Amino acid sequence: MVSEIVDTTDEWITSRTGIKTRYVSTTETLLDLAVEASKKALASAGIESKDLDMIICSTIKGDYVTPSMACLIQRDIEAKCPSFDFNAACSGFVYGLDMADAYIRAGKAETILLVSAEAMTRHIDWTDRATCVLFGDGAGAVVLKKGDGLRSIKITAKGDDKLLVIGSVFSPSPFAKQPQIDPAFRMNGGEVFKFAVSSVIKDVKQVMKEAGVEAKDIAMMVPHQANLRVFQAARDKLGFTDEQIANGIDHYGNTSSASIPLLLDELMEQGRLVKGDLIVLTAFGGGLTTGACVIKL
Amino acid sequence: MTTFETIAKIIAENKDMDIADVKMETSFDDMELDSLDVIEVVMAIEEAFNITIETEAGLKTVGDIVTLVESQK
Repeated sequence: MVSEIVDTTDEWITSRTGIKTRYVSTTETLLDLAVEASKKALASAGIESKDLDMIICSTIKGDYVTPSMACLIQRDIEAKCPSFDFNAACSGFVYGLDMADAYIRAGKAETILLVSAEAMTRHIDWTDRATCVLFGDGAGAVVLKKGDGLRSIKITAKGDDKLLVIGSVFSPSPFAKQPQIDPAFRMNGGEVFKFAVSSVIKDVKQVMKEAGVEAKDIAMMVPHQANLRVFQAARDKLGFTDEQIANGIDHYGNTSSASIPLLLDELMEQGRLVKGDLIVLTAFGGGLTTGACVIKL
Repeated sequence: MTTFETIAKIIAENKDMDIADVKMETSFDDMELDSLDVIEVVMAIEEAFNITIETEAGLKTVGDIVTLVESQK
């Protein structure tokens, strides 16, 4: 229990975040999680790893600075294609969909494995009760092919290193004179909350308009799982009911870019989302980045 | 409407309260609003007045918000 490490209570955490439990990697590497998710996605899609044209992995930080997570996933699933990581923080999955869409449209790839893998619990200050309760570790993956499922998508960025920051850790150098940056997750919670709510409302309205769909047409909105209160604040302005908002934060915590594919897999497995359903994805996070899209499953 | 009246109306509507219970000296603790409730109220006020309110400003009472809004008008 986190309440045994820092001065907090289950009630405080639940009422302000919606989080009850989350997963913290102790012995598994991030690659272990990513490979497991990749193998499941390939099996579920009926695709063999040799048929992949590209592996893209979104992560704020892999097990190594180099090699990338994607290269090691490629090795472990025995694929042969180009592979690379990118960092769009919590918006990584939506950014990855946009990137895969561009490669496929350009005819440079037919089958892409998009993996989102995040070990957020390595980047938090376990003595800070305001942030150490928020995050979990996880990985999710999808196989993407040419189709007409992606009805609209937008991604945004607004460079900022004040509201939400995780510093890099470097090897000590006798020449380095730069100021040290705190390697733990820090944020201005109030301003990030405002940014999250306002960007969800703006992005979702825009992608739904572009796709020509209304709230009543949407089976479910699957938001990046950062804070239940963000979804609740955006829900009414978007005209969604509680049942239309997917919630996995209670059992996953915030797993950064992995949160959307983790939850999508769960909803498909439970039959709560089925082929033909229209869904909205929306994400926001460090960068500051945001992304949203409408997909027909 | 005065700045206070507008703000009191926004708080009452947003948080489903009796407007008579929202006074200048009423604190957010008195109204049982947590930090995220206060930010939601601040966002509604920002929209209504077309201003930006810094949420780190240590807002404790309705009067604190009124003073901040007045200073930006």
